[in-house]
Amino acid sequence: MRIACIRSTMLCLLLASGSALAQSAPAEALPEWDKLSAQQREALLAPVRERWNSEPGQRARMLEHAQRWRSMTPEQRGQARKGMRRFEGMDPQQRQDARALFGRMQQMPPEQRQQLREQWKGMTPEQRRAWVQQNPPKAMPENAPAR
Amino acid sequence: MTSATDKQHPFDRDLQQLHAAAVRNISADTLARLRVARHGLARPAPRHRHAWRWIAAAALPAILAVAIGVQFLPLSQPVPGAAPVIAGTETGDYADSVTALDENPDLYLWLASPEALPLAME
Repeated sequence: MRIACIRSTMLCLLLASGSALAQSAPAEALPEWDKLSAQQREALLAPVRERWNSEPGQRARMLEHAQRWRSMTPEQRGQARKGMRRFEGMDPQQRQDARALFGRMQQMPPEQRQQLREQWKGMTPEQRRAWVQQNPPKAMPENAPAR
Repeated sequence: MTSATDKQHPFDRDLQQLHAAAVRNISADTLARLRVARHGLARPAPRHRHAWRWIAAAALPAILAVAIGVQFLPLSQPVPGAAPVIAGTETGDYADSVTALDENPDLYLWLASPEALPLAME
């Protein structure tokens, strides 16, 4: 009985100390990537590994995007992150609109891009849906996740 | 009337007599050591009834000190099992590394550009 009481008390204290350790770990204290532990790196890379393994058809696309991120300047990456946050706030239809507009404008000279921008601003929602159907984004591959 | 010894086989009787003679020849010191050894075996082992109190008295303050002390320690070591954030970014301010690889980064770049910002898509 006494031994059981001692074990219970020590277990509670150890759990309390572990909880205290966890609560005293501010996120900003995390170091640079090179100083992360193998366990932390594994936790960070796990989502990408899971997607890579589960969707073989997306591997070339993921690698191309990763290489593009890497080739960007720090300023471009900062801008891209802002754009990504904007994209994350869109619903699926709005994302499709953005993909279509971006894909179309990439193929246009500056003056035509300006013309399309003005045209888009004057469209009703129905007209925009019709325009997107006529100019589907070609960059979306098969089995792409509907995000 | 015959005694029990008379009824025994002569061989058994001779052995008993030899054993008795051997016992009579054991020295007093040897008998004393044997008596002490026998007594010691029969006595139960002393119980450390209060050992658990000493263990608890030594261990519990130490554990309490650790539990309290870590509250005040600056955490300079990496925290195992940190929440996943995107790898390879300067700020880590976007949460999902998979999202970053799903779309063309140039689309994201364009969405934040002066050209796309006036285009209301949301």
